[in-house]
Amino acid sequence: MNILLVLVPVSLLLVGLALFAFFWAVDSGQFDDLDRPGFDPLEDDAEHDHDRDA
Amino acid sequence: MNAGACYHCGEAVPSGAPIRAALAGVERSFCCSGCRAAAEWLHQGGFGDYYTLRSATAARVETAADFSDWDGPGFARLYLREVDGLSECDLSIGNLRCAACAWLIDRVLTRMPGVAGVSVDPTTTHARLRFDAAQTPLSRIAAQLAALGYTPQIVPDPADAAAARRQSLKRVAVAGIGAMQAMMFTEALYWGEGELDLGTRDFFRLLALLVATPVVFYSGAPFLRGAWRELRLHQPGMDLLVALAVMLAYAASVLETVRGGAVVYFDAAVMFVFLLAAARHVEAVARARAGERLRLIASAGQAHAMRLDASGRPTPVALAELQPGERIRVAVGEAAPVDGVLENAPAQVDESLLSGEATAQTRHPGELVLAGSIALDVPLTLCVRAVGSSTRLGWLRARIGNGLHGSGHAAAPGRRAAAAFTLAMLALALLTGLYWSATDPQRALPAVLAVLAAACPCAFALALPTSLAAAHSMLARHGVIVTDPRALAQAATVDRIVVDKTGTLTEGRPRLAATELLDAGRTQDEVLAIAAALERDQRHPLAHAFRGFDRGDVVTAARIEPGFGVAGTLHGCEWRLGRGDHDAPAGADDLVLAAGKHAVARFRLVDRVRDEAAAAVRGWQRFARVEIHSGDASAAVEAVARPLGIVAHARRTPQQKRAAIAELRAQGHRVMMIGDGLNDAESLALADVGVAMGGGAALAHCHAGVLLLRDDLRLVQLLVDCARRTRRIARQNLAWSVGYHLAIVPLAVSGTMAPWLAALGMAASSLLVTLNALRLQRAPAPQPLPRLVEAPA
Repeated sequence: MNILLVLVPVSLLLVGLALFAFFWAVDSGQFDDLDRPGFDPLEDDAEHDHDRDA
Repeated sequence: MNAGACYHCGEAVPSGAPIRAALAGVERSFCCSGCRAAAEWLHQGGFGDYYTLRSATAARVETAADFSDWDGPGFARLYLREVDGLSECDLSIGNLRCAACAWLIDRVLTRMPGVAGVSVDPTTTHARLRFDAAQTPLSRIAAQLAALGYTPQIVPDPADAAAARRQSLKRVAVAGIGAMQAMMFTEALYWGEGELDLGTRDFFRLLALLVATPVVFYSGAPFLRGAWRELRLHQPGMDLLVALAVMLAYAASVLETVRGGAVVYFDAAVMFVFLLAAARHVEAVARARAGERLRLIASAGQAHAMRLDASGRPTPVALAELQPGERIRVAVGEAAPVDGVLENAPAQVDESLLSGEATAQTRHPGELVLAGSIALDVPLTLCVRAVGSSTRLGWLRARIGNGLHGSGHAAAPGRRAAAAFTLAMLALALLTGLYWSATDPQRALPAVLAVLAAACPCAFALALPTSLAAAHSMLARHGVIVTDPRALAQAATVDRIVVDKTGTLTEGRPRLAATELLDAGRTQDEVLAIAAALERDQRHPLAHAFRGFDRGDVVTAARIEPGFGVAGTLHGCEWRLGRGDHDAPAGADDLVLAAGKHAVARFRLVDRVRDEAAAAVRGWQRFARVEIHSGDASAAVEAVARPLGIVAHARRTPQQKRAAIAELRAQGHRVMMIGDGLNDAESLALADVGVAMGGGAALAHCHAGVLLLRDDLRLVQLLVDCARRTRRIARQNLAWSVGYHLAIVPLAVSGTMAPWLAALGMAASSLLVTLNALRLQRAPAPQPLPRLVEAPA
């Protein structure tokens, strides 16, 4: 059972990292708008045109 | 006569001299040069995708409003915030109709120099803009939006609802992840019971304690705070019960861990918190979206006024700073922020917000212009009479608001029943504890916890809110916003439907029905073209009737003749179009075209019945008796009612409408009122279910229990069907949770059920209830509504 003394803290560390990443994502606004960004991939190369214009 | 629909806004294209443009090699027609300019601009800018992405046609591009006020320092002080050296402000964007609009605005604005960021929420039509004011003034950004057909209005910084939503999301995440971990550790304890050595057992218990603690005190904080508030106010409610169950399970487990007792119950504690926090988050998000949209509608255009100083120079001030007697200016296209006396010149105003009256009204100097009236032809100079809640608008708003609150505070019956149920279960747990302490003290705590876990009202408490949240969210997706939860419950049992006519069953926008030639020397096409040319640049609703007949004739010296209509010079002749005079009398809906004093033609205008009205009304008649109560003359009402087979009541004043609704309710009927305009607003608040059409006056939105964001009467059927399914599913959920508790509690009381089994059962039961409620969201709409997607060119 000694392996638990290693694996359990490791799993808790991973949980902590996951929570930290999620908090960061929430704070940087990634969950604020779940509708509009869905349209970004549908856009036809507008960015490329833009780059060429510039 | 029509040559099809405008590619940009979908309105009829004039038949005479078509306005055309080749876009991506395909010839398109437009209703006006504004729409053509918008479409050409979009294609040249590489935004042509908008036309394939959008799900609703754009708004007609009207003559741009004047945004020059937006750059002044006073304006900046009121609305702009400094963030990282840039200016930030919030806009409410009118005419934003679908996610493609939001996409377009995002693309177009981000390409403007100096615009650092823009986030548009298509559901709330709210945009947050971050820009460098030195590089691009706000007025230019607003003008760009106006050129695309949107009507931007600046709004004060919204209360930090987004921050609260983020906080709530974090709480749910912590609860979810923490609950999984705690359950994993306690599960190991259950399965290894009797086989684990004491050291390992205590190690696992400490781990469970470690992960359960943040769940209980961070994620569960809203419940704990709520419970504390309820205790202080001596008003026990759900929060108290939840907090008590959680804290009992948690405290008992900590105690057992410390003293090395038989069993811990961390899993039960964290499951309570996680399930309830998740359900509340979902419900709050759905509710907040509806609420935010309403708030923006209500506040738009009302936060500031342009005060004129002694020299007549306008400076923006907050409404609160405005004093009666001061003078303000209202630009064309803007709503008057106060009640005030008109000073400068006769003016046309649109009072549809206040009266539901669609036709433009004329105000002369010295007359009162009410807050909410939109200046149509000339800028208004007003001497302030009343501000804020003392305006007529504010008075009505407060009055209707009171009506809503007077009857609205009764708690949802399900929730109250759940509270009573939980109190009973707590008493039962106490009795169980007392009984076992007297007979077999070893089994007392496990039995009490088993009773608490088995009796936890989770499923019971979730039964109603999750059903409601799922239903709200499904309805919102289809353009139905429910602002009063009672409205949804009551929509299921509606058996009388009272509808307004103008703007509800009809489009609220007059169309040409007949042309009568009074001068034999003219042809019908000729007089229509002249009328269309005269009305070309007019904004009032009657002008719309002629839009399809414009041949592009040039009018000079065009002007508005207050109280009569419009006039102008065309083909070297003076023309007048307006209400009839004694030479050529005309009915209320008629317009007379005259060359000088000589009447040439009479146009009969009618308000067309909506395309979907007949089918929608037939659908309603399957479950309710439908009545029209309209303020219009009986002939006009009969003309609409007879083909639809509806009982018609004409010439009803708002008081009579209210009385009719009150009488129907007194007879025991469940009444739904569908209408728009402030005339109907009190009726909407009085009916069991008030449904406001989105195209109507913005104010009615605030007081009806249900808003239709799209002018589509079929949404009412969707609402009723959804309400019935919600009721059915909520009943299933309540029946299940009651039945489950009745079956499981005796086992727990008798001490034959282990707490872990009771907790597992509780979690499974909660999950079942939640999944059942989510069916409301997933199931397809009972009546599919066509989406107005244009085929890719």
